[in-house]
Amino acid sequence: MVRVPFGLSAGSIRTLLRRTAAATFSLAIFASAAAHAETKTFAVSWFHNATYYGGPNDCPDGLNEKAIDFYKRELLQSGKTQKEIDEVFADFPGNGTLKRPWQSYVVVRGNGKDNVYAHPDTLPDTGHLKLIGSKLAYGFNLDGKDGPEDFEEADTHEKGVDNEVYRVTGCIRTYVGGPPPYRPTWPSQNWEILRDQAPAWLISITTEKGSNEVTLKIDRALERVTRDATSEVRANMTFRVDPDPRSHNVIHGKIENGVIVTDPTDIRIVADVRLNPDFRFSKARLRLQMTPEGNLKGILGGYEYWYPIYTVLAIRAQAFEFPTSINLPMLYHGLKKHADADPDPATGQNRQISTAYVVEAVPAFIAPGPVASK
Amino acid sequence: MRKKMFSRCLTLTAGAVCAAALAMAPSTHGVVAAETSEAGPAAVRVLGATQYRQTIADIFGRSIEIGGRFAPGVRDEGLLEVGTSRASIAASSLEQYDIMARSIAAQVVDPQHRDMLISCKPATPTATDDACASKFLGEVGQLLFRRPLTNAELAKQVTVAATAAQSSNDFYAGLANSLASMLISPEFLFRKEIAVPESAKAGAWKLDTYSKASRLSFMLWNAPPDRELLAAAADGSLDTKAGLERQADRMLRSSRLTAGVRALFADMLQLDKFETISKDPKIYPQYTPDISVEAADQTLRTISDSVLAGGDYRDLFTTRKTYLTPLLASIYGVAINNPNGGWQAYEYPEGDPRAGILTQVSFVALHSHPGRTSPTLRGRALREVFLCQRVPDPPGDVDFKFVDDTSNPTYRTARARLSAHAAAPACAGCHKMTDPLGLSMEQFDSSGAFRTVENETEIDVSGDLNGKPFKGAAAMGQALKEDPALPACIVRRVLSYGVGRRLSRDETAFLNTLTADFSGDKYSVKKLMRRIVTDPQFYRVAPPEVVVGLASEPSVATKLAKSGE
Repeated sequence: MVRVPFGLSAGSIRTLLRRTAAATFSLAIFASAAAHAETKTFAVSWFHNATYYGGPNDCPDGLNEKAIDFYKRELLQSGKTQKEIDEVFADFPGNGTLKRPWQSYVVVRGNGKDNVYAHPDTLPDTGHLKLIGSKLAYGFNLDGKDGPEDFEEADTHEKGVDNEVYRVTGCIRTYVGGPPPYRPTWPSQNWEILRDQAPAWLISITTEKGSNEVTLKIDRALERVTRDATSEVRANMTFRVDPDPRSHNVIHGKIENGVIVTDPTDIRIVADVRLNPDFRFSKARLRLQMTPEGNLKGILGGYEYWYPIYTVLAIRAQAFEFPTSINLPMLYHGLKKHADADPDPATGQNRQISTAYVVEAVPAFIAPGPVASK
Repeated sequence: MRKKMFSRCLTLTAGAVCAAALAMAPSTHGVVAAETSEAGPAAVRVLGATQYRQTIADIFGRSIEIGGRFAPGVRDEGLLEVGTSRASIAASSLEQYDIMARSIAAQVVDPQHRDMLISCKPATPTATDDACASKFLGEVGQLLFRRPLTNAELAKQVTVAATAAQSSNDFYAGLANSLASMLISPEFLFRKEIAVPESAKAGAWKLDTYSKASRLSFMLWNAPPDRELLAAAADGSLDTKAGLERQADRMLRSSRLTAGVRALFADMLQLDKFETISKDPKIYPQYTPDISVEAADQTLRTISDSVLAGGDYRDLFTTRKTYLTPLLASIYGVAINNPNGGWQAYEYPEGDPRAGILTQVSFVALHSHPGRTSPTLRGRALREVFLCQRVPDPPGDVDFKFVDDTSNPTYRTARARLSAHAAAPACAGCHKMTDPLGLSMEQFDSSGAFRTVENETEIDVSGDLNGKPFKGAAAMGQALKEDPALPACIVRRVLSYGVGRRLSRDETAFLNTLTADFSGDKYSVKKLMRRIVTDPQFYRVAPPEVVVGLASEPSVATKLAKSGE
């Protein structure tokens, strides 16, 4: 039995689809030989790092340190005295005021003068970042190879899965997920904020008449999502498509056994200038299927530029680092070290890193008629 | 004792509070209708929440914030307006009225509003100015009390203002004090109808002209008389056929008629109940409080559009035209042209399972339980609200085990559960009245969303109305449209709404005439309203038979007559 995220097996989904109202639509859309062409639109409700949780053995060296621990250790390594460190951390993180003496220390904890978030190389890689050690992960075999370090897909059991972001971040305590239905803390929190601020993302799926070919369009909307009574994204809302071509993606795929899998392609979605300005994926693929409720659920995998992953977090500096216990300079080193695609012709340093995201979406509509002038 | 208390109340600065309490106490002071009258008694009706708000907005503008809370109304004969003549004001509500009165008065006289709302300026703002106070309080008092103040009343209010101004060295504080006392006066909070003998018909009684103006105005606008109507009452032209028709036609042409029509149907459709309903968010996550507000508005827009255009009332039960917001469209499961906009016209496609107001969220969600539909509640509401039929309450010992168990593997649909439940002889009779109608609406879940299956079982929407079979809610609307009880009921409702009391059997002739005319007018509610408000019968009241209690206290009409005002 194939497992999918959050506890539903593909087999059980197919069974449920046969038994519920959602089946009418889902079978029409997902059948391998649809009788009529049909397009159905969804609004993305969840989009966050796909962090597989198999149990404590995922991280054989344990979880990464809490902020206070790596701050003290790194300051000690940088030459600060124990007494000095104890004094500035006597009240950590502080009572909410700006009087936090530890802040001015941790910001320059690399070389004592430069901002470590802007210049992460000033803090050498101490090798303290603990990595994922298990074999299972979400994602795709992006390079077509099956190396000894590659993962096995947690649901499909595909070999050679590339997801180095998961390897690097998976043992950071705020990235760790839990058994379904729990989501990884920080990535899901980030999305919670993002989806209220950025326009909605739309996925339109068109089945090709009489074949198992499908066309997916991923667009940004002009409107934001709204919430329902359970604070989830409200289904069946209507959106207008943002004409900005930067967020317009047309993807080809196929339906096999009720699961849509798309061909490798580049995908770009403009998000929010403050949180995640841009999501850019290369050689990206999607694997999507319907839930019994008629929603869409699956995985997006691809390569992503690793440096923006770092900078999006680093601009928030210590104010983000201490509550999340994400050691930003070590994340920088980890991403850089494990980047596995797109080598820089000049330096040989890989510029992209394999990753995977959870994608969930609810039914939506695209405005049918001309938009009324405001 | 009551007379002594009444006099004492009027001498107090906050006298209005006291006077209101007096009026709200169980009273033997009143008029009992003669049993053989062709009209019902004159009524004393509590001013409703929307009427209160509208009055303040009419007099002082929309920038005056009202705040406070209004007690829920009492529904009688299907209408809150009928309940207003049976309702009282509890002590806790009085406290709220007092808070609102002080707040409104303070805003009216504050520096941001006083130049606009007070038509005179005191000689000095730190001292009394009886002339200015009298001018303001006289003007405002007439609009609040819906009649001119008597000389004694005005003198009283000026004295209150002067006393308070002297003690505070602030003319405006004094004015606010007096205004607040008027806002909590029973003359404002209650619509008191005064009966006078009808000169043209011996033994007959009718409303005095100011009471007549109020009845007309609240009926058409759900608001107090404006200056022009009060002037027509003052010069007596409202008592002439031509004068009455002139005012009625003016008001029917006014854009304010929309508010009146909305108020009438909001009351009839019991949309106030949306304030208290809730849905289980786990089962109906799409149902948020915004939906309740917009669902009620949707139906009122659908209705007022038709009524104001002189449309056939019966078409409301089959119309495919309505309005949607982006939020409502999500419940209806349809796309909307402008997702960034507000209300937009929408027409269901031909053959859509939705048609008419009974398939709107406002009906199917309102008459459902928080976690499941209720064909019984829907059927009952349909019969009671739209056909004026009475469905008895269930017996106290009824066993709901079948209908409550929505996950019962044997009874997978509401129809199956109700069949099992209604098998009990004690239940069968009433369920025969309600369920064949309600079950035809089962394709709309408790949130109003469309569905075709329940517990993986296809929903059977066959039903019947008085032996006439149909399938689905849209077809039920058509059957209802053809039922003669439907137009007869709306005539009864509109008339009851206007007079604010239960109709007596002796009013049947008037009712029958109106019903026949309604048919002749192609079931135009607007024309029905005109026929009612321009008919002298609408203003006739039963002669007073017994007057007890404050019998020695002359009526305001008498006082006005004596003082020549």
